[in-house]
Amino acid sequence: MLTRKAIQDSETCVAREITHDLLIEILARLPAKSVLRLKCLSKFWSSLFCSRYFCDRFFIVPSRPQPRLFMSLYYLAWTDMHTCVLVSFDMRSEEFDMIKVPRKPGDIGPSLKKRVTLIEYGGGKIAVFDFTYLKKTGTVDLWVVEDWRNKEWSSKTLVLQPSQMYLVTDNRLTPKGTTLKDKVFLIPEKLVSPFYFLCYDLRTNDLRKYEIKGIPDHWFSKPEATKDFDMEFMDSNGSIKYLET
Amino acid sequence: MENEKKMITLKSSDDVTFEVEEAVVLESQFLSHLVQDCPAPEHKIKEVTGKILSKVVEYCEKHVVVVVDGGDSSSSSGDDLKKWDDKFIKEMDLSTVYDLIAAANYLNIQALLDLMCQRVADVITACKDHKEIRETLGIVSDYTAEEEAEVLKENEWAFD
Repeated sequence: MLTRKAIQDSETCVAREITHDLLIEILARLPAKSVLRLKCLSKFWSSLFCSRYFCDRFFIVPSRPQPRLFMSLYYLAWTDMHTCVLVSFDMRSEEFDMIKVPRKPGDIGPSLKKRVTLIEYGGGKIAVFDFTYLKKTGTVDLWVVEDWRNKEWSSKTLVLQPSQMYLVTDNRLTPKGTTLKDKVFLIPEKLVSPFYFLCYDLRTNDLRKYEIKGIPDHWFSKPEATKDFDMEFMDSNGSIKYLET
Repeated sequence: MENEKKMITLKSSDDVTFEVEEAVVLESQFLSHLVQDCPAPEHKIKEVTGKILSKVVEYCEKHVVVVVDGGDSSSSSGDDLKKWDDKFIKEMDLSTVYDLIAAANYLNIQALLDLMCQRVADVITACKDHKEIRETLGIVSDYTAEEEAEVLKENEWAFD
């Protein structure tokens, strides 16, 4: 490994002022193609790009376009019984910001009792998926953040096809986010037999039921108190890295 | 503001002094801690020459003024600032840019560091091939002719 001293003394150095760390700071701002070109400069330069530090740094430079969801963390919170807010946490500036989730006129029930979840909608937009009245009236309210800064939301109400109403009346459902485009997964809160999950396609307004076979029978007959379970959905191109953690 | 603006003197390694408002100094994380921790009227910055410190001060003064006048940076002042930044870097040779990178890093002025690093990255990107990059950055290759041919072949697609 080259020490800093050695790097500064060597002919391969850009300038004496530019230390190894600063050089990486610069190179992390290059487009990937240019990085490959630099490998042809000299052995020292070629070795630079093999370093773990460079690779890590290369992917966190702010100017590199990244999907919005990776830059900020979003979650729903309640400031009191009647006020639900959408909170963002900017991973770079480490700052919080929040906007109030709007309500439909006439919807007067306590906000805290609402059944809501956050989803990614319409290609990277953040939306609140409110299915409080799904079981009762077959409707879902979708609040989409159009412009965070100006607190602009658009709203949309989806009405379930009457033929699919039976899917939501039996069990209390829990949302499981969206890993597929504009699709929301809902699963029964309790481990019911036969187990299934629902996939709500928001674009086609179509709710589909998928049964999961092969779950051992004794799982269902366990005492209620010990019947904890969870279910995760992964992107079809999801990373194995995720599994490792 | 009714209060009189507090002035602070910065002295470079070669004893050039700059009198600046405190707000300007606060652009630098390093200096703002220094000023808070030791409230002397003059601070010597041993790592930075007068030539470079004058550029740093010029940059910080511009950025403080715009932020204070423009309120939030969403207005046209943001564009003006960008134009100013562009002009600021275009008038500089690479060796000054390197010095400023080191100074911005030392003084911890993130925006200036970003601007300068991006400048070098842009210069590299604009080069048409690796030979031009070598020339621009003053790099001497230690590849043998065969090694160079091989590494070029490996990364061929980056040269389209």
